[in-house]
Amino acid sequence: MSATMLTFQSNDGVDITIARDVAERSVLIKNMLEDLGDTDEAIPIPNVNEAVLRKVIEWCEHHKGDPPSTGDDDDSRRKTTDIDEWDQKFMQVDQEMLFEIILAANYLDIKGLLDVGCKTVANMIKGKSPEEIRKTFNIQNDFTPEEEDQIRRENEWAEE
Amino acid sequence: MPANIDSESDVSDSPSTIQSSHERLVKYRKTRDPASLPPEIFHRILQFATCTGAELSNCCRVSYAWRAAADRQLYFQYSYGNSSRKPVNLARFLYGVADKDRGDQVRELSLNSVGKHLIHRYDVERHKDHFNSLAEEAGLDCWNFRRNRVTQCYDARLLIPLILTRTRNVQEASLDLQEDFAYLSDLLHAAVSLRNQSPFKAFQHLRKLRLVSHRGDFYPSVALFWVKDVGHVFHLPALEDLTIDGIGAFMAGRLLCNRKGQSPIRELSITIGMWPETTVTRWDIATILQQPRMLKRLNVYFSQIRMPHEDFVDGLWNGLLQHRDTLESLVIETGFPEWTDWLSFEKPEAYHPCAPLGEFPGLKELAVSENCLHCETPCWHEDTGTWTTAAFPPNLKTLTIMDCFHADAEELDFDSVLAQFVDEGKGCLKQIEVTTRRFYEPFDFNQTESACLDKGVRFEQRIYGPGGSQVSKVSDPTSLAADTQQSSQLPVEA
Repeated sequence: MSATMLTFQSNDGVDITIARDVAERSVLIKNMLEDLGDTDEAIPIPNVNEAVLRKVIEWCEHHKGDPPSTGDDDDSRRKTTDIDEWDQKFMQVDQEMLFEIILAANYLDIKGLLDVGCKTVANMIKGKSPEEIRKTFNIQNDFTPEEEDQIRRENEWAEE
Repeated sequence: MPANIDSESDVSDSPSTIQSSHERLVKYRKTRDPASLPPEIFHRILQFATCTGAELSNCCRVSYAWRAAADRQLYFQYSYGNSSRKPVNLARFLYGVADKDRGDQVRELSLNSVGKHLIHRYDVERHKDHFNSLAEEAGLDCWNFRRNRVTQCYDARLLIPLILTRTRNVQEASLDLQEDFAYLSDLLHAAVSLRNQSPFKAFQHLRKLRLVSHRGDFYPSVALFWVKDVGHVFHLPALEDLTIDGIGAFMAGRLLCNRKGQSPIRELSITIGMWPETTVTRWDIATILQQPRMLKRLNVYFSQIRMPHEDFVDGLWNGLLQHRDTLESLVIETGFPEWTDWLSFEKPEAYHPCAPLGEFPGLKELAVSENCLHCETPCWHEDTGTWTTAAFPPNLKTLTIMDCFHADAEELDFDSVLAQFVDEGKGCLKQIEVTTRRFYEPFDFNQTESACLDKGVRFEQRIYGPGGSQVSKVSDPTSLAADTQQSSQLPVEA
């Protein structure tokens, strides 16, 4: 039996058709489908453009067999920034696209993808000095040297 | 070349073609500040990215936007005493939370074993005026940061009340103190006193407090706080869960009587003891237990109480009856009591069951020392019923009777009472456990064991065996076999 197909429309007007079980990796879409029932019309995804939507769908297709996320926010999840090999390759995109994927995962409520995105950014931060972090993300230093020194003194307790 | 290119890595794996070089350049150009993401996402990224305070501190220094987010995480929790932090860290932390906004972000605080720690004068003298002004601001008029003339060092524990008042939004606190209970008593009193009108009054949002004091490495036994000093903590406005180890009951009846039933605490774990040369009355005990409006879980340990047994039992159950409709879990244990109405080593002539346990319909877990269940002479609640199944809470799931010594007394006849309770129960009961103070010889609980087997209830009796081991006699209907097994070497109580 062939899987039910659904069509989604990105915010730049492109229709993309995918299997329902892939689409249901998104909690937002899953809940929407439960409320609406089956539909032949294209479902608009107003916050996501075609390029990002295709990336999100690619991730969902690869992970369609994964167990559903439990949604707990425990410490063990926080502490590990390990990302599996396929996801690492998947996330080799420019920062603009990476952040768009994160925002789309957040909007569509795809916890697994959101975590992979956050971990990818986290790995870009880990172990770096403030100056290196600024370089990585092209951030302007808006502190004066005195302010930075003051913060260092105030946070001295945390350095031990 | 854009400023954000890491030139070293670019050189090391530079692409060979102009096309791929261009792509990499574009990739680097398309940068974006993670702080521009929604706050909850940036917060999640920082959680993944930072394992240590030093990493978070680095993030604080990236930009204003990063600082706002990283500060929230950095100051969320502070722990001293279980890590490698030196005493001076307390002064540094206080310097950090002296800023109102950062102090207000602290939610979890853990200060352990501060008692013996000293801070070198160099580390505090540059902040001394600042700390004095913090004390003034917090309404701690009696606070004085004295230097020890001999060691030329400052006493680290004096920083505790300042830290408590600068972190006024703390929701969970653990103060595990050593040899400094007297200091803490005074300072805690000042920090939370009703008379303190300062906006920095401590613990106004505290939901969970663990307050422990002991006498240091050589005397690991419980030390006691005076009721007059820590009585306030029962009435912190948001406190739901209090562990206090321990409190001297002397004068509790008088000092706390006006605030009975006014504390919001729902879970209480308390050690009640007595100072030398003091007395404890039935009203002292009842009044302490009657402070909370409605308790859900209570764990009370009476440490070396010296008083008439009858008064003890009477005060205990009088105090507990207030919570009869809400209590779900109850543990009452006595340790080395001295019953002044009993002659040493002499059993009373008769026992009268007097614990009104049947009046606690919501109780699911009960563990109680045997001497809390009966007294020598008929007492005030004997008219609540005869010693029958009604003597136990009707919806109990687990029942543990500890320190059994008189279970075979004819008047109590525990075996048939327990057996009847199991037989006529509502089917909620899953386990009965009896621990005895006897050596070698178990009590005869044949009727109870048989009833338990019939009803699918696990029954276990523990006695002390040879060589300090503990022997368990288990009757477990799930394995359909009653067996005796010797557990691993457990120390015998002195």
